[in-house]
Amino acid sequence: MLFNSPDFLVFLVIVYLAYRTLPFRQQNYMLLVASYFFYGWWDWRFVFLMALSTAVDFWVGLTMDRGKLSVRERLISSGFLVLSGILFLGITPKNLFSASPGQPAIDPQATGWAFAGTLLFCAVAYGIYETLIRLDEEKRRRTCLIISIGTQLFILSVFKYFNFFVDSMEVVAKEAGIAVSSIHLNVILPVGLSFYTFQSMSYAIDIYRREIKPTHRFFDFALFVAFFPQLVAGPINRARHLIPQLVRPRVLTFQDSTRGLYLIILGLFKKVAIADGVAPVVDQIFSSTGSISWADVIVGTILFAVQIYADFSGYSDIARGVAKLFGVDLMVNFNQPYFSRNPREFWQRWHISLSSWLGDYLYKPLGGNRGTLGFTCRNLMITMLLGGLWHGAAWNYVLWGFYQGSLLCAHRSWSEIKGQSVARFKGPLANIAFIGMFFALTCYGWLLFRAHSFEQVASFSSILFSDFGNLDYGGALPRPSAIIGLAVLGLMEITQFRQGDAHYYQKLPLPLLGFLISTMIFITFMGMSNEPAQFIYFQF
Amino acid sequence: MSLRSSSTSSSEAGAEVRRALLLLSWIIASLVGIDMAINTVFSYPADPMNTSPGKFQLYFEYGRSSEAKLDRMMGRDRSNSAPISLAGWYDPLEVQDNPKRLNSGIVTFYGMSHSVRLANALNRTSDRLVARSVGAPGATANWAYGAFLRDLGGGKSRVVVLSLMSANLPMINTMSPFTWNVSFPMPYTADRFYVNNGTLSVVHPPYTSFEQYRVAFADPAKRAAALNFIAANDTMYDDFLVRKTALDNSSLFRLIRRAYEQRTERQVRTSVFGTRGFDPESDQIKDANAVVRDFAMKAREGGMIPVVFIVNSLGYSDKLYGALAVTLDSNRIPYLSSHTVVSPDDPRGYLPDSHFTDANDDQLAKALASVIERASGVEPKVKFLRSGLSASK
Repeated sequence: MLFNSPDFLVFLVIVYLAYRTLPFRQQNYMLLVASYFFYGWWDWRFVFLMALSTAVDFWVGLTMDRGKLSVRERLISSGFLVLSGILFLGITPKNLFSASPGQPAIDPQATGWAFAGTLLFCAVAYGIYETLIRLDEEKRRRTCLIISIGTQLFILSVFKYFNFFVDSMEVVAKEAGIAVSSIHLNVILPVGLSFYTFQSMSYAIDIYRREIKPTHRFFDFALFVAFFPQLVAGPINRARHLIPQLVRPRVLTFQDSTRGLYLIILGLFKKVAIADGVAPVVDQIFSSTGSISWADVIVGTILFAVQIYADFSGYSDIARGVAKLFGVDLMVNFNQPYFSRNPREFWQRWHISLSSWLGDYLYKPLGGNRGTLGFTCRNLMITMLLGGLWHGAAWNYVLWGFYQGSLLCAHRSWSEIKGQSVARFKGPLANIAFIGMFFALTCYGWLLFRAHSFEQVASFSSILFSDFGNLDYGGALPRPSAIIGLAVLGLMEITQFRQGDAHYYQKLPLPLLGFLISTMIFITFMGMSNEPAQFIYFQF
Repeated sequence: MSLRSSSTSSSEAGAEVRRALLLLSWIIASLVGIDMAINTVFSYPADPMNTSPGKFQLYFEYGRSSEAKLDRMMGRDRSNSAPISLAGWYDPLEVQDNPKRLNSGIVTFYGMSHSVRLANALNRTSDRLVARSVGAPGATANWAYGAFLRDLGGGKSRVVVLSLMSANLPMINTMSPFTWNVSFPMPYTADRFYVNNGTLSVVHPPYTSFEQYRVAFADPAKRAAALNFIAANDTMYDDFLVRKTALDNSSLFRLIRRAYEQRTERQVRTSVFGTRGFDPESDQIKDANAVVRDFAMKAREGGMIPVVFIVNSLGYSDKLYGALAVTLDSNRIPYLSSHTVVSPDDPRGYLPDSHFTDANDDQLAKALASVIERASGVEPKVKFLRSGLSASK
């Protein structure tokens, strides 16, 4: 279910009205059911994967911290898993509404397998549990952490990276003259898999580090994993931030509601009017098989920078806005990244929930910057390479990660060598120059990110130099909604940047604020007639 | 749980609510203002003869209802009406003859602009064949077959060519472009064919000429009856898109209608055309195969050679050919599928308006001449290097 679809609007209204009428506990149950429905809208079967991931981390969290699960906790989580198996693997909801005799809604064989399989899984899990509780505390905690991370990484590997690694190994083997017959898994990537597995992992790691206590309420934890506004494309929220908001009754303030609505309008404006409005031009340039000029590469790359920002930050805005309607505060994911003056600042402003996750759970455990410059650069590079790979199972993402890692290392080295000498360059003109230069570097990174092959990277990069200054642009123009929308968004971003306050709009005179909001609404409706596209980050 | 203000006093909460209501009023007032400004600055020319309005004038008009647009196209009489409203009628058929070379073997084309362009290309490239075309802008396959049945080769054709295009094949169950192309509606009508107990049946439209249309639309009762008839027989008819309302005057509402139209059209397309190509179980594909079969039979009964021209639109690969292949093969119907000459996945083979480039039209015409000559038992004059040229067996 896309945020920019009428289906979602209907869904949101129903869920919101139900939420407003229910007491706290029922609110959480309802939100969990709604979240599973939301996810199942894409592919019903994959909800089971999420249920499995949830059950494992719930068991692991409690076993790690307390060394035991109560009978009630065991029964609820096991029953939930078995029921999920039957419901999500044995039943095909769309067949409930079709009378086709060849496609029954309930597949007895699949139901049987799901029932037996989940029961067997629970039995094995209890076997492991019995072993775990006999271990001494530190060993138990470490083993539990390994189980949690292992399970999440196993799920990620199978569904996201298996075919990629097999293909890569096959290429290497062929280059080495070894004949291989590769095995491919015929699986599709579940939407948002990387987001909820990372969120679950952070829960287990934080418990291991004794930074949080596990929740003993299974359904609250399940809601933490599945909370629909942030389920498929983040922000990747930390347990310490989100769980406390889910386990206690929430106060829905008027300010939160209006802020939520504003964020939803802003997010839709970015996504529908701007991102979808430039997408056809980007697609055209990056899929062109004809001759490409310097201007084509420059325009295509800059528009992709616009598209990915408007798309992803738009999604995050909507997610945060929707969550606010339910009294939940999700973390800020973007803070005007294209105003960054250097790579370090960029990663403090772009996809903040991922970069801070990578910082906390990868970069710092690797040693962070507690060593020599070379040691720090090694850690930065490992973090960014894996961060690149997180975005997708393809080498161009790894290359993009390498590029970003190189920028960070170069900046780090420059800062260490030159000390604070760059601080001399102050003032608006220097700021604009730094921002402009770093934006150009960021855009080249987006070229690597968007290219569909290494050959295209090489070809486009070569055009940037060999065809420099050729302004013969052969691409189409963005949609009117994108051109006008980008002008409006640019003004808004500059105002926010100058004021240094994301809530700057609240200080505007009411008539001006009303005009701003209605302009965004109008341009969004202009964009609605564009072909709606899936959010880019769903595929990650 | 109730919606509570974070403020401590009820007076502050009341102030917040008042501020929100005031903001809402400003938003509504601004929307109305923007709406009126758009209507003023980008007002669409009222003159039906004005065929080239500005880009933004067009942009904000896409979502106006078909009925409102058709009304605007209609002048006092034929000479004062928009030229597009005169095109595509069955009665009389719009025929392009080539009077200079009447002694040659006449090939009559039935279909959309691709078909007319191919006819022109055949006239350019062949000295044995002369093309005659019967066309309508954006004509669907049902329109083309209806035109063929009314013309039956004009009584003088040796070969008849029926054109089908993948981009508008999902609309084969419609009766007029104004139901499925609300952005650029045209009033002409088409026969609706459907398979009934294995045989092809037809529903004729309520009016088939510009004059009949004028009469039908001039009288509210007749107009309602005509639209109701089309609504009952056209699978894409939607009152929300077709019928005019006072909301047509709002540019914002027109944008909403345009978005709804895009969504509806997409749903119809995806119900017929998916990742595996056209769904052979869909009504549209069943009807298309039946139309092709019937066309061949009728042409042969009239002593003419039937040829099917398959226009594989950009991005549709050769899936339409795939959807018709069994019927073409089992009925030994000569055909030319464009994918054998122009790759449907390479934009360079197409013009920005989705037609084939002139050079490709010429190549297609040569390929068609070859198909016709093979079907006539004559050795083709031009040898083609491309393999897989779709000649009949």
